[in-house]
Amino acid sequence: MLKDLDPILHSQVRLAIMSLLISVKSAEFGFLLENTGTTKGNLSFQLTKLKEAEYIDIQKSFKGNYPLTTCEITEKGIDAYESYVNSIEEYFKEFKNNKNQKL
Amino acid sequence: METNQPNSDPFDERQSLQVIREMIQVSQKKLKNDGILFILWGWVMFYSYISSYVFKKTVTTFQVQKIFGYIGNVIGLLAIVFTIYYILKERRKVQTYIGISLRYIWFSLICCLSITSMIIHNVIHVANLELQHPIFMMFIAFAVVVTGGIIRYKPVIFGGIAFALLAFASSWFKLEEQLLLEAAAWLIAFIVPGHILFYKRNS
Repeated sequence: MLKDLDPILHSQVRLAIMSLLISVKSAEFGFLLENTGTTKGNLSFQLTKLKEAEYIDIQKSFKGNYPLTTCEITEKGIDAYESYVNSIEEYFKEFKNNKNQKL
Repeated sequence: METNQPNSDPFDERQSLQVIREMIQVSQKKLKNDGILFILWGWVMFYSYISSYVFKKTVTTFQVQKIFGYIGNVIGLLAIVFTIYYILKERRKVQTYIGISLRYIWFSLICCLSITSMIIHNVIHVANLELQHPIFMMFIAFAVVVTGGIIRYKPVIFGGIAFALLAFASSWFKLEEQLLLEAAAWLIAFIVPGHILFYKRNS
């Protein structure tokens, strides 16, 4: 098993959100909804979790008469994501080593 | 992708890797340059230089030249309006660092060309288009190469290099031939890579 895996990021939708946000400056709620393939309610819930962990910033504004939610990854979020990816890499390295030893 | 309910679901390392891979692929696909602005400005400038060349080489009435001049102005204006609309539309959904960098480069280029034009006029006190064309082409070539580097797309980089070579070559010719060379430069550096980008993005 992996050690020190961030429980905030170890969730399918939250990891998907962070993986999308890591490559852009900011993204609208609609963009995240379209690409994570989850429901509006669930996406809102997961975004709130990430915001509470200070991994993302959420800005609410209006586009015409409609509310507009824009998300941006924070430095803390970038660090957490990098650390999560490193842990995953370590896991696969270990897995590969164990497999080679068995052979 | 399956929805993730508020309470965390079983999610192993392989699935983590799969999600990261999927999202990187989504980002790469969605945020890839679609070449629309390359195609648009490539054709607008190509039309502009080719029509100028044809009018300089052939004998046409003033009325015909005026009509084609108006058409060119309307096309240019529509291209500007579409570019602004396109940038704002793209920016609304998602803002990328690549998009921001490209906006800075091309906006700076427009400023640079305007100021250079004024400098040339101030120094030699006359609008010398034969001198201005190769210099402007060189600035554009620089912006094209940098753009190609940022979007990591070799046809655009090579197009920029070809633009620079044609800029140098055009300094040996008179204005009429310079127009033809510049049209060729826009074709090589904008229209061809733009269509390849568009085709690749949509295939």
